[in-house]
Amino acid sequence: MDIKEVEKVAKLARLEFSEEEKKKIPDQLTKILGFIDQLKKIETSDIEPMTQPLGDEMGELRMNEDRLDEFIKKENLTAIAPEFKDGFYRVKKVIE
Amino acid sequence: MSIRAVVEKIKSGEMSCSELLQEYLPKIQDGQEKLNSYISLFPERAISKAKKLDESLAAGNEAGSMAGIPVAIKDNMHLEGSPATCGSKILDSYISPYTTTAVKKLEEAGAVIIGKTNMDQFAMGSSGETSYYGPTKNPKDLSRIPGGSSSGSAAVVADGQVLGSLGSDTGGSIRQPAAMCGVVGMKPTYGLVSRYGLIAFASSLDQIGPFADNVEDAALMLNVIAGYDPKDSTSYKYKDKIPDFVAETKKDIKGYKFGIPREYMAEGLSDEIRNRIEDTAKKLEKAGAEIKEVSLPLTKYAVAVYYIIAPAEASANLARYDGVKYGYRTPVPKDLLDEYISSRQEGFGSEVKRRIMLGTYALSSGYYDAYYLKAQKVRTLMKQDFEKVFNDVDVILSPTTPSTAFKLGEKTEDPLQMYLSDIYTISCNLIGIPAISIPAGVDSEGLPIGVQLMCPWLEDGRLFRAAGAIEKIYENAE
Repeated sequence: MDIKEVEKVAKLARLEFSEEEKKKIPDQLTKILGFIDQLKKIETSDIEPMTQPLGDEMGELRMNEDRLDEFIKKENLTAIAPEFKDGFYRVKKVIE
Repeated sequence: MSIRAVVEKIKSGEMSCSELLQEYLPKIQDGQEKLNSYISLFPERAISKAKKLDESLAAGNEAGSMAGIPVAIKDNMHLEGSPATCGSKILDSYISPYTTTAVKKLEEAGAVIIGKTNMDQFAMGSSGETSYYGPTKNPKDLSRIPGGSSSGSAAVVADGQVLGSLGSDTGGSIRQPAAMCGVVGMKPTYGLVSRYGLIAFASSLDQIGPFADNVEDAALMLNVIAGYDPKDSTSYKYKDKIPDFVAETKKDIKGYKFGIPREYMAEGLSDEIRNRIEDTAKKLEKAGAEIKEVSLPLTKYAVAVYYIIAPAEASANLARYDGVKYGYRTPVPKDLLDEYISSRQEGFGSEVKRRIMLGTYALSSGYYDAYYLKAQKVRTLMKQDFEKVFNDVDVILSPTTPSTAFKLGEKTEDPLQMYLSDIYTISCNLIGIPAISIPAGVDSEGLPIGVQLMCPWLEDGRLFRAAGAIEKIYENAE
């Protein structure tokens, strides 16, 4: 990964690196990706990807009922909010 | 002394929960100064809980299987009203609005929770050194790491501060510190223990599990925390009853076939640890078990597979930390986008950011097939490898770690070096099988060695049976 790629991915990830970090990050990531590249050697064209460790044993994927459940202790949530007023989480202006 | 023996004392009235706690509180305070093993301690809450338990027992109520037992919980789990930081600045101000199912079950069984333990930031690390709150030290040697990411949870049990603790294991984060500190650490089959309330790192890999001083105690804790939870959609519903893991630890293993994968005994493994595994195998044969060499040819790719899948899932799971509803918010944002970016930039540590970057890249358009999809396919192949081996043997025996506890600062310069130390533990998480690390003595420097056992999916009972037998063999040998 070069610095341009790093900046592009960082924007996607909502991160931004300091000048100090930008000196090390491209090399570190390049090295790790280089290590990961060895997976290319493995033949996988007929293989299904595994998304669920227990597979069929897990049974059918469970879907929850489409119903609203109230979180009982709302005061626990508002107490830890950075800025909460009149029932809203306050953030920087979105619409001019 | 085992948890069961202590609970017997409580049940018989020989000792009260409050008295028991008073015995442990000084050890906890001293331990904290020495090891930095806790992020938050709440002795008052614990004292109050112990008192309520004593009152309840005096009123004739039945004692739970963990009545009065002091335990500690890794700081990536919720306990309502207490902090949950995940070892990160971004959650430094976060107070749990609810309680993790596994933690709730422990409390309902009578456990007295005394604090939340230190950990690698967001469970990303193998040494404890990525914690925002500074590293935890290994109680056996204060210049060394205790392992990670469940650093504090392993250290406090090894140091005798509590009788049990909970950790989480995504790539070895219970088993590796258990080996490094000389305690028992177990990762259940994926889905056996509810993940509800476990702050997610990699959702298809994470599992909560127990640390204890001995195999029976770990089994007892698993008895308490295992079980179907409708609040976790990946929670497994056993068709029959879940085994009594404590009862399993007493059964013998005559005729059991143990397989040692040759790829786990090759170069990179310390000679002393290799000798300890071979010695364990000889002792098992004397006890009536059969030892075979087996092969897991994809082992050398396991770390690569993990370091695509885990960061990819983490990049999605950590997207919620944006400073809006909870956690750290940057003090003077320019606009909303800057609020997100600066809160995350300032709140996350460098290892966390590195993994988010890897994961975002691996999932991004143009790279998804080459990286994430590829890794998920190799995962299927790895599962097939293990299925083949388990058709041949009952239990896999291996080292837990390639070396004993290394020095603080030894592997922090090169992330890849740190990643490679997960080689023996990581496959279990990728395919979802249960595994345990049990203490197997020390090396020539007095540092703990751990021996790992693995069993097929949902054979956690068999795993405890084998672990109990090996523990007994070691005890008899002394």
